[in-house]
Amino acid sequence: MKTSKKKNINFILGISVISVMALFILCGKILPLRDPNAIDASLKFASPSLKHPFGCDNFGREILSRVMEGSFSTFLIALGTVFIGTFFGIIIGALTGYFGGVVDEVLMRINDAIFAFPSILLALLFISLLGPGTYQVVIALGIAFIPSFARIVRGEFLKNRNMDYVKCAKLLGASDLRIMVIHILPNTLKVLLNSVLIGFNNAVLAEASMSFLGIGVQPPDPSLGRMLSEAQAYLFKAPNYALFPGLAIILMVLGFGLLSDSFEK
Amino acid sequence: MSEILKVRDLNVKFNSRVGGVFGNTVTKEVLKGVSFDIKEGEILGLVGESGSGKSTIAKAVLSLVPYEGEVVMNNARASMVFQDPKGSLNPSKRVGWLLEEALYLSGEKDKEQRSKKAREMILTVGLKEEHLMRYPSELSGGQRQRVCIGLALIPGPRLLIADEPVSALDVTIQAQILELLKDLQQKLGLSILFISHDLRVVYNFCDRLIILKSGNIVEEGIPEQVYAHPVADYTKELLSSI
Repeated sequence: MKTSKKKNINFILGISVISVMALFILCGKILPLRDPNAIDASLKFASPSLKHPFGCDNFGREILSRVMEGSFSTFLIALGTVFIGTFFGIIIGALTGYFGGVVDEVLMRINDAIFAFPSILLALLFISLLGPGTYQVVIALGIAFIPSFARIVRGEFLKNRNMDYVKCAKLLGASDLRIMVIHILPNTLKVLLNSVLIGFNNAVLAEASMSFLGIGVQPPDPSLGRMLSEAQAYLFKAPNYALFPGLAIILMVLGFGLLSDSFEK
Repeated sequence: MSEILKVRDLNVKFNSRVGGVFGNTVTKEVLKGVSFDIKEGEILGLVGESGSGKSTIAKAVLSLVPYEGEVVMNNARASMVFQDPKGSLNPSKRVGWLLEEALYLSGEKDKEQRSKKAREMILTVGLKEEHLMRYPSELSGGQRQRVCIGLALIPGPRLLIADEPVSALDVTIQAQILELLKDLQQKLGLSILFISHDLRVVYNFCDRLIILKSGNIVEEGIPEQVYAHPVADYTKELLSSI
């Protein structure tokens, strides 16, 4: 009873934090703020004020609108990454887990090999092949995320394929595809949802790290990781420059982290 | 009476690989030349301890495992009721969906006919229409087994294979499920292959029984005769353990 109450609080907190972030991103899209890339030398390192709540950066660009825009692009990149990872992860995991045999053995060993690299390192490798840029980051991170999803889905399919309800469906003449998609897949969703949320967090952090390294979103477009890396040089002169993008990352990760906690069994 | 199922010299081997990709293949003989018949409208009990190959016979009859030998079903369909009524119902689907899916797979493409037949079937197995809206986890063990029996009946089988259908249930519920099976058997003229490890359950329920030990049939006959004058040592052992 006590734990379920705690999970409930996690759920409410998680949803609230995500809603705040969503509202924040939405405001950036709707409100007539300054262009996040507009440079104004007279506003260089302007302190937070009513007119510029988060202050301005080394080019006199408004930090508030840049954080809003940056959060949006980080969110989109994380979403795309998780989508690619989940989509291909489900296909690979379902096929290998359901059919087993040689295909499973080969694909899972490749999976293991990819898994052995940190996903950031792997994404760096793909970036070096594809070149830097927003879409390239989504593809690189997406590919790097496939193995972990494939592994989870495979485990679930492996567990389910020997269960009597699958045999039942087979006896009734259901095709393999029908069994995989209609019968087994819904039973993996609970576990999958959790890993999607955690994967989303990892994707946010991975995107931020890659932009921090300068191979993600390209300047002058804002990105949370990129802003942090630019703010590094002026940490003591203008701490607000690093503070707000950092907060945005923390809130985004915290919200989805709390939500995934509340779904955990 | 004619036979509905004829099994001759049934052999089943399982290959398992020990030690990964490059390991050795170990062959295990699960059934060693099993032969038996089931007559029309007969309930045949199949008794044996765990690992004796009881369930493997069921799987071979349904072609769920590769086998050698002859399995002839006399232009009839077989269905199966599994031991664990929890595992044989998809936990993420409602009972009504499960029944309708079974109907769809059995060739009923009309949606209204499907829901009508699902309602009929739920009543046939002694449940109420309201149970169609429930998830398997919201039913008791006995109710779940009734749903499983309903699912098995949907393709219109002549032979029902029941693999330990009551072993996971309370004694009072066991009696109810056995009664339902007997009822259905008489109403529909089914034959039943009743697999169990429990001689007490088999005694009152079956017309004839087979006792299996390590893949061989060691005893065959009507229950009264087997119980009164067991031939094989293994049967005596089993009977003394009751």
